[in-house]
Amino acid sequence: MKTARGLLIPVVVIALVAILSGVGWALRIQLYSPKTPFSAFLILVGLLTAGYFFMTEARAGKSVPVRRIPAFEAVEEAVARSVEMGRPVHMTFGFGTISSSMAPQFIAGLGVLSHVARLCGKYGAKLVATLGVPEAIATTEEIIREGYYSAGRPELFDPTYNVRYLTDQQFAYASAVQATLIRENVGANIVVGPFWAESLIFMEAGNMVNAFQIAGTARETQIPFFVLVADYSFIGEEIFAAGALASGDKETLASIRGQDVGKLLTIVLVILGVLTLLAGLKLVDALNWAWKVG
Amino acid sequence: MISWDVLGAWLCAAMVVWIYSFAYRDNALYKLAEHMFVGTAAGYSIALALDSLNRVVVSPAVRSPGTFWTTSWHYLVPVALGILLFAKYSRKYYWLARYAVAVNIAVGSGLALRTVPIANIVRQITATILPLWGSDPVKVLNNWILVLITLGGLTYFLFTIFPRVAEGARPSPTYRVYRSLYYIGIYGMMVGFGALFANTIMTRVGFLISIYLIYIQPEAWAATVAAILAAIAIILGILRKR
Repeated sequence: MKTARGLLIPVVVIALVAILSGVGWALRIQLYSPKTPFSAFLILVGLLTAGYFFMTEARAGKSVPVRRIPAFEAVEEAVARSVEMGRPVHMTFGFGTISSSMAPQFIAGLGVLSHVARLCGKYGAKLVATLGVPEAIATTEEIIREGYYSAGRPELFDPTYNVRYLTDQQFAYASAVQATLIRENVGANIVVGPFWAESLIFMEAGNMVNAFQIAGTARETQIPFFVLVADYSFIGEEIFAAGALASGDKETLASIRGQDVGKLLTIVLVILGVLTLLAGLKLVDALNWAWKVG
Repeated sequence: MISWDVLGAWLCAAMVVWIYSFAYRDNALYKLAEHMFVGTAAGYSIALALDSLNRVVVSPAVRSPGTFWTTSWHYLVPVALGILLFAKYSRKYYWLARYAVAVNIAVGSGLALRTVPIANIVRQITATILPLWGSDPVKVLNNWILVLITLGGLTYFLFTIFPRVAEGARPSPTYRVYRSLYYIGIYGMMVGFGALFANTIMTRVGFLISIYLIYIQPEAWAATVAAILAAIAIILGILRKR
């Protein structure tokens, strides 16, 4: 039964690629062309299939090894330090609307929040989550409630204190977050999600109260500020891995492995492209030729 | 004659100075500016949302119901999802809010997924396939740096697929290549972050100068008023500390 299922997945992948190739050939679509990037569609289908494959493996009980992410490991230290100092932990994950292309980063932020909430419950720390995403108010409340209740500390859950929706306008949100950091005299400032110009404002405010700071974003223009000022930072895609690690869910971790396949594929294609260039060939032409012949 | 424009400019100048005063310490004038800012932003968001709802759904549905039900009925789906968000206030039906959040997140993820393969994979691959040998040494060096840092960066972000070395065992060649690329990636990114940081700071300093120019250019007294306001904020901060 297990072997049959194991065989089924490659068969499905091959069948999918064959069908898509057939469609591409019938429509006279080139594999790579700047106008109709059929290759991008094939890559998307391949990655989704790979992700699904790893998720079914995880469901069957296979564990996924994840490399060390120092910033993620430091979250526990940050919470414990805040408790020792008798100061609350602050977490925020950005502003805006969740139905934007930043949604994956908001989800990663919520994943880290669930980890922080569980740790706050474990150590008995007060948690203040400031929000700039109106749609996430209910989810944030639920996450924090679950964190405290699962640790057997329901008395620490106070939605008006724990969850503070500010506004979804950038600098109004930024001014209120920095004021919260100072007025609450936070011991740890954890900032994970999509951030714009407010990133350095948060880091400076956290620095003013000597908070232990952990920050991360996948917006490359803001990573330098976090790397420079925070004690630990998640660099780029590390926030997604952290979100998956925080969830503790094997299937979510397996989806990270699906992304890794994409990166591995990119590495292989770049090396192949450089080597074919040495032989006087362009990888794009070679692939288009192979596509036609195939 | 003091016009509304001049009053607005004064209020704007005061807000800028009061917000800046936070760099010294938290004070009453910063609180005033912050609360005005947050309150105005929240009010503005509500007004925008209600206006959008009115323009897209309520007005068309009331003015020409026939046309609305035949052409724009699908707008009722987001309206229903929006109403579901209020279910969080009910102890019994709070779980209904999850559906609205789930749809929102799914739409966002779908939007992000749409552009990822072409922008982050295909274009990155085609832009990185560069000749590593040639007659121009500067160009060749540049290409080597670009290719190595791209490969290194990609290797750094491999979270679940990486070679491991058993405790006490000699590292395998694959492991050595992996570690080398990993470090090339991290150092390459740090250099990139440095450049990005400098670039952003230059832009921010540009903003700062442009704000100062607004206050100094028309009348010199505006700058004096701003300086007096800053002094008031700082004195209030000191008094509050005592």
